[in-house]
Amino acid sequence: MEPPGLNHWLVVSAMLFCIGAAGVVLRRNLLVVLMSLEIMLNAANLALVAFSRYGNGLDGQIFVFFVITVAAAEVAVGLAILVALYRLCGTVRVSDIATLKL
Amino acid sequence: MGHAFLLLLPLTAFAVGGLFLRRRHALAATVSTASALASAAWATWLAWAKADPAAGAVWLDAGGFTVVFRLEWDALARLMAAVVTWVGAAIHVYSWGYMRGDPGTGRFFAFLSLFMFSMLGIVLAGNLVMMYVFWELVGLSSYLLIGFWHERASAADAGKKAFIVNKLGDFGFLLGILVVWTVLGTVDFLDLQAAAPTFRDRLAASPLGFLPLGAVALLLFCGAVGKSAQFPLHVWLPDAMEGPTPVSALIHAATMVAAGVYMLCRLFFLFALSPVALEAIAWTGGLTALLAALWTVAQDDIKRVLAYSTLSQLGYMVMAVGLASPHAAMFHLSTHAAFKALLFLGAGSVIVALHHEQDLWRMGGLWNRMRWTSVAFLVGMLALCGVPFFAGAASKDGILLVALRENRALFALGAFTALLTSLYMGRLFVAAFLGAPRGEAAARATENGWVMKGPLAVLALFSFAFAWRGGWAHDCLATLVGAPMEHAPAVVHAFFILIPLCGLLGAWALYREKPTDALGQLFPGLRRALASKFLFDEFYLWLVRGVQERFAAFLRGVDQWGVDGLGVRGVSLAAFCLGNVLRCFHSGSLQFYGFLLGLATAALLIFGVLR
Amino acid sequence: MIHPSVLRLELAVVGLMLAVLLGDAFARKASRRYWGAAVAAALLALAGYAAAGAGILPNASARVFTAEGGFLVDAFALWVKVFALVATAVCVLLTSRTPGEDAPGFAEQVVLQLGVGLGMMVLGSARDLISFYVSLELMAIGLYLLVAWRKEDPLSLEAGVKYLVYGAMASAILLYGMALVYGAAGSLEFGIIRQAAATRSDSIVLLAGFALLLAGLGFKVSAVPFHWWTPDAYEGAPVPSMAALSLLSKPAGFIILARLLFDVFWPLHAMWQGPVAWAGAATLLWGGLGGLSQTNLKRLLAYSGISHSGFMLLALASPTRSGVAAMLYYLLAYLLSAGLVFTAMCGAAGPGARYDLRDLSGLGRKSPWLAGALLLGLFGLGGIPPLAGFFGKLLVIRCVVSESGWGFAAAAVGGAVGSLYYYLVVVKAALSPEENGAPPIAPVGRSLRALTAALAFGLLLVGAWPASVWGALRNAAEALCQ
Repeated sequence: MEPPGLNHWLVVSAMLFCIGAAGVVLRRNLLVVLMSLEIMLNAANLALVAFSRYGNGLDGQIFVFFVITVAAAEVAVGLAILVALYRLCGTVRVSDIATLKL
Repeated sequence: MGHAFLLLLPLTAFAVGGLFLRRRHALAATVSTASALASAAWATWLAWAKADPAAGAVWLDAGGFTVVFRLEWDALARLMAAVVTWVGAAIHVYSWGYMRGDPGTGRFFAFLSLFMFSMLGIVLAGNLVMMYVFWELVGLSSYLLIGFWHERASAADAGKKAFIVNKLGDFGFLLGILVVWTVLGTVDFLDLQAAAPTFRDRLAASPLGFLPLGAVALLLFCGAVGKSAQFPLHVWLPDAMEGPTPVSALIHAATMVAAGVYMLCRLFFLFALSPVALEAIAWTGGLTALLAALWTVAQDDIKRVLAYSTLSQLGYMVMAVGLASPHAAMFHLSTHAAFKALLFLGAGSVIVALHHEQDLWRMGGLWNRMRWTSVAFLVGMLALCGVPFFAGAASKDGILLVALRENRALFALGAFTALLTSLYMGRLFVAAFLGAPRGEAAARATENGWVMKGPLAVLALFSFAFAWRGGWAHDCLATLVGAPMEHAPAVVHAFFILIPLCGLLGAWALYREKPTDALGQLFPGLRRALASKFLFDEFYLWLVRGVQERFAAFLRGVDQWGVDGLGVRGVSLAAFCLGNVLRCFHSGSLQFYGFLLGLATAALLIFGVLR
Repeated sequence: MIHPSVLRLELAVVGLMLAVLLGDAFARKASRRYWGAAVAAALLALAGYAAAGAGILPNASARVFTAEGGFLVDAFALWVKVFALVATAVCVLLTSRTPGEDAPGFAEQVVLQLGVGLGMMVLGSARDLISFYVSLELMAIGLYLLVAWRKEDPLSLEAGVKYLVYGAMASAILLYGMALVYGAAGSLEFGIIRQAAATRSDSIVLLAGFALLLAGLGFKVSAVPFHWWTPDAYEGAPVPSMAALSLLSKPAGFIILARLLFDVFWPLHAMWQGPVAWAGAATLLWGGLGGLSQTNLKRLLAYSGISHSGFMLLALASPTRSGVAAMLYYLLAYLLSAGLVFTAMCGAAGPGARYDLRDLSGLGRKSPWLAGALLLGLFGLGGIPPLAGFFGKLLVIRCVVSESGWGFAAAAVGGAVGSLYYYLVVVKAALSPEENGAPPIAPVGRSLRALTAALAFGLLLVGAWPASVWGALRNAAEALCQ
């Protein structure tokens, strides 16, 4: 059996990305939606690392560190807003936050 | 030299008045009036001295296209500037009397100065971009002045309507300007005139070659259709009577609506390239003249009579341009500015004396109570009807003569309109000034003070033909005409004398000593038809309502604006419909948004990769 | 090693952030009266320094790189920094009116706004994918918080959640695009990516990455069909945050979009021109029509913002320097006019206001100053000459006629008329007589007066005399399109 190459990693990362996107669109709980967003970001990270590993130098992996840091900040902010929302409205269901429309 | 002062004087008055004098009414009025008088005097001096303006300064140099700020001062601009400044000055003075005691007087005079600034800007503009800038500014100041009593919903709506309908016309105008700019590479009038003969070839060679020349000319004409209230964008002008009467006189009779005609004359060398466009322009003008005159016969509000009559006269001017004689149009524009302003100010004087009563059939007997106003109004009326020795006769007959030579059908239409004109003016005069008073206010009316009588006297003077026959105005006109005014055979002259006579006598016979609209009593059906403006409004309204009920879900919240024309209403209806359909996408559901985002991204991805 | 002097403007803003934080920890309440004004004054001073060239560039066409090449200062970047500093100053002044300088959290809000402004300043200089991504996220994360700032208001929180989830999804898409571009070009640096785009324009990975980048930025500039979040986020956000969204975040999107289209992916311009033009026309019409029957001012302004984005996209769709310069001019006009509108809104109501149109009734009587600012701002947005908005539109349409074609120009003019209609609806509401229940107005303070006067003056100056800024914009455009 041949060892996995660049294309395999890319396929995995694309699948991860789609799974994440599907999670954002389909899951009902905002916490899970946030996690799905993380999956999307990590799919991109995987692609970056794969490209970096297969011949593009270390730049991509450095980029990944930045992305991880930024994602952590994003999640912190997201969770803070979710906590505030839960305190005020008692819900973190996506379907409950549709007051602003049209 | 010093032509820029013509613009700077009213601009300064506007800035000072608008920023510092909103509460100090007397001072604001003084500053504004002084600036108007000064610019009138200055314009006269400049015209008399035939001074050449300074060379332009670069205004915008946006790589490849340059716009130079240049002032134009040829015969056309001189004549128009004189008309605008003098009529404007007279109306400024008159406004002292009319606006006395109004809490917004300071604001009013500031806006008047803004209007004078913008109007003079159109007159002096040396290129299309400048003209468009001031064109829009005129629209803006007219919006502010029509909606001056903005706490009255009808006034606010009328202002909005005027603005939007004008914008529709400007839409075409702007596109036309852009085409000309793209094809000829310049916007300066002198360069344009020099390049005009090559326009047809260069248009065909440009990427816009699919446009026929006539279409470009008609795009430019759209601007005049909006500003000069030609059919089918005429709907805003009668509503604009919601503004104070001096505004109606200044903007909606003498100057702003004339801007469209002025633009047609200024750009005549472009219109002249396309006979088809000229034909369309002539028929638009003729049709407007006839329809408006018909509708006027059934109007009962003194200001609305004058408004529709203005529409009709503007139709004459546009028709003259369409018949390839811009000089005749400009001549009629100038005389019309004088006598229509006179009529409006006379009407304003009546309205003030009658404590804002505007219904013709509650007036009557004012001849004895307001002799000064009545005489002035009579002069204006005779001028409008085209009675010999009055200004209107010379100018209107000029247009009719051109029509007789160029297009018999339009001549017949114009002559019939002239007959209607004298009929409805006779009706107005008989009903308002003669007979016995029919209302309490009319019975107790008294003449107004000198501030209002003075301007009437000046304008009445200008309503006599000799004022236009000698001296400087004649020089200006002669430069424009290039050839002496045409002489017609005696039989035609007799015919021209006969028309107003018939109309006035007819009106006398019909309306004398009648308490209500006699024509309406004789032919109630006819009156209803005329008053309904041929049911255009109702038909459109019915059509629109039927559609609305079917699509009620989409149409929630559509408010009732611009019900008057299928163009205006139809466009707005379609826009609101589509807008509400688009709104439905914003459902408020986060995940629906996410889904749409994913879908759009996928589509873009596929497009990018497959292409 | 990055030479710190190249970063002096950014470092100064960081210093300002620290100063505000420290001041908040130690200063007493009574001494805070002019904090907002002081911060804004500092920002404007920096903007003036940057406008004068900041001593970084020897001449207008020079380009100064850092050692690693990830950070570039040229005339374009400097112009972006000036814009960001001025826009941030406007936002800070608005914050000092609502919720006010003595409200809890004022300092944090100002710090976040400074951070958003800082993000835009770095973004203007971004020269590789890392600085691009990090600066964009610096702005985005600050904005998530600012939009959700009023945590006692369910609508603000809802807007925050929507903006966050949608924004994070868009930024994940953007990041994935970056990964693909990196894979295809073999480097994160814009210069090398440009070479790759020139030599390997048929690489599917590169094209896919480019498409995803455009999708991610489409979210930032609220271009159709990526604009779904805009009205909801605008309606729920407090006014200063709304100002940050439209005066900082959206311009930043356009700045980096211009950098990508006209510099990095310039070799592909025959490919992107069509889609950008179509997106521009669709955006313009969507914004112009969708706002027609809105009854809430904030939502209406969101649609207005969408329509303005359409104009700027159309400017970018004409691949010439004039197109870029027209876009920059349009941005400036938008900053000045929208700034005036936001100022009037902040002055006209307190922090919790919903800004339904009928709440504006009687504004003309209660505060002619604010009503005048609102009127001028709306006319500026509507493109009435001689205000700057007019020339912005004229320049854009002029470019469109010569580059994209007749139909696009007609769409542009039509969209402009549509949006003008709803601006007039707002004007009418503000000038109508007062209804019951319209909120009272606190007196207009000195800093708000100064802000309106400055913005109005700028709007008139830039509009009546475009040559006053045109030279600088042209330099910036030329620096970009080398």
